[in-house]
Amino acid sequence: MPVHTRKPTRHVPWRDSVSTSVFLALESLRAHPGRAVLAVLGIVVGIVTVSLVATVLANVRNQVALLFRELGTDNVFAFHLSGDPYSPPSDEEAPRMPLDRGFGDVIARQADSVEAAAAQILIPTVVNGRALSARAGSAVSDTVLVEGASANFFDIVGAEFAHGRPFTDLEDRAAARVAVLGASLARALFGGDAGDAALGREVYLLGEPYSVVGVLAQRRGGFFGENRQDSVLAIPAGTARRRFPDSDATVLYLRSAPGRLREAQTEIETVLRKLRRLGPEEPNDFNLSTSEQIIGTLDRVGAGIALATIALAAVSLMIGGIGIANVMIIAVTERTREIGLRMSVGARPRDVLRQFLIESVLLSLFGGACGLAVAALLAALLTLAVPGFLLVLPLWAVAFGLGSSCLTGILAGYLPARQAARMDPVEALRYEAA
Amino acid sequence: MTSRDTSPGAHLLELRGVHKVYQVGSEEVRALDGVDLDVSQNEYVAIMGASGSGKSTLMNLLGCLDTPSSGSYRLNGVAVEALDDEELAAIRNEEIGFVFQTFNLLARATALKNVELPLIYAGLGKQERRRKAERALERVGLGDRMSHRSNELSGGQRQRVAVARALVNEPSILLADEPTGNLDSTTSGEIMELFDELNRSGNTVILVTHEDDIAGHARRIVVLRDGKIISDEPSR
Repeated sequence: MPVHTRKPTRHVPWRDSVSTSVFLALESLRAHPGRAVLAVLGIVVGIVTVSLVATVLANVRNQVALLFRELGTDNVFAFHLSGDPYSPPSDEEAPRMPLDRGFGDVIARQADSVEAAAAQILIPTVVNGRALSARAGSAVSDTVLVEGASANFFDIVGAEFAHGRPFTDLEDRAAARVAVLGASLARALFGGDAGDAALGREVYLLGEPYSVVGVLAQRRGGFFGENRQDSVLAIPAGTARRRFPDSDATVLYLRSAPGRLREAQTEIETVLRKLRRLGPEEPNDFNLSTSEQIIGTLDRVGAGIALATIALAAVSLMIGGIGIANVMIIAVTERTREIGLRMSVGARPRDVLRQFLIESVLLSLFGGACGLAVAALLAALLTLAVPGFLLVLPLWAVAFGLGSSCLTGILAGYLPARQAARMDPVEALRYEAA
Repeated sequence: MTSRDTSPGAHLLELRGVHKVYQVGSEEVRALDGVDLDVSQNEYVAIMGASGSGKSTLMNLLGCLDTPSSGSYRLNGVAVEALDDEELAAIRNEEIGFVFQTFNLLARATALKNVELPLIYAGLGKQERRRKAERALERVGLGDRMSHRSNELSGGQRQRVAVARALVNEPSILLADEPTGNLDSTTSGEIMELFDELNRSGNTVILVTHEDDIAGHARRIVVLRDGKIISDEPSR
């Protein structure tokens, strides 16, 4: 008989080693449920953190995006300050003069790419030390946002009317005491289903009556279902200038011709610099933005938060990995004889390595899945508690959750699995549990 | 009956000048000290000796769980001493069927799953594994216990499952290490009858035991002392 060297060409199908390992992993989970739960706790915490933050971020982003898109995606907003018009200006920007309402018409005339201009005069919520409130009969609302609006304002920001009509140019010029109400305000003042009952009725502001000519439809978007546009009490811009002479913060809404938004922004800048008499070296003393730019800024903030969350989650996952590694070391030691037996019936080192790696990954994925389930549950509770909150678990969070737990399983399981694979079968079979 | 042909290559397994030396602390332990042994197809051999005689070491070498420090071991024409871990695993899978004193079953797996284990490592498909495992279990008389978990079986039944596992991949040699050591005398008798029957139907069986009546089932008895073969004769 000739002596020949054998070339083993055996191949253990993945499906079989996976199904065998799944079986064994489930067995060891069932045998030591407490141990398994403790082992995956770190992973669960990490995944819950990431996916919850992701859900909240996605919600805020969607709502805010909707809110700004409602103001018109073709519009350029011009204001003398950067940042939120209702917040106090920075020291640097405080000396800037508000924009003149008339600038809008000049821009619309001189800038080719600008189709129309509307103006909005912002009235602070506190006037002469008194919080503004609106009253109709015995109903009072102090969550009211008073603003002056040009006749075409509602058209340019795309605000829809549930009832009635916008102002006329005549009412604007004559400083007529007429008002358009946001949906929430109309409800608060004239009852649950105001309908057109509000039309023609009087709303009192600082003791003076305004006749309601229009009620706006409910706006979409907002921060957690709250859209301040729904609490608006709009009066003609001309009326606002007369009744609130100290309020001169004006936002110009400049609608660009379709597809010429970028061009419009440049042209508006040129015209405004001329109107403000800025020298070539002087910086702009006004701020231009579009809804996409605002959303873009928010997205950058959101991405920063997401990144910080992932860093935080990485710490939890690392702790989770230590837990997994610990359990795997115990499992390998406990099952030394089993490893010896497997080797005696033909398991190669790599088969043993693979088995324990799969077990470790399964354990981690189990943790990851638990984490996602807990996060989904918490997000579902949030949707009940917070109006307008949508149950969205972004795909990237799910992918990150499962991917990172898988990776944790491989990293944490590798050393114990290698220890198992390197066992001497004779020693392993002889092993007596301590 | 026993063939003592000494020409090379004529036997199922051939050991020539096999030494196994362990380093225990600063001392060298010569567990096997120049063993020559030939076993042919369909032999029924008992290896005997006191504890420390080297019979377990010989068993591990024959089962390819270990390799000799020096000397040669040919199994079915393959030079085992030259194989690496992967190749040894393949040999164990294809050529050797182990039966242990402590059964070494996966406690929470069914009899069928336990018997399928070598076939998983042989890379067989699910259906073929099942078919072969069922046949092996029927052969050891456990056709009605296939889906019992091994911790639901008696000692004798467990050892039968272990024998079925050893048989399932049709190995060249059945290697049994004190197969009745954990069984009562009635059950021991039944297990030994099973080995006798397997040998009659063509299997090569090598037993390691220190009990004379167990060794009496074999047709050839090899006795070791201090790592050397001191006697090698047909039984009775």
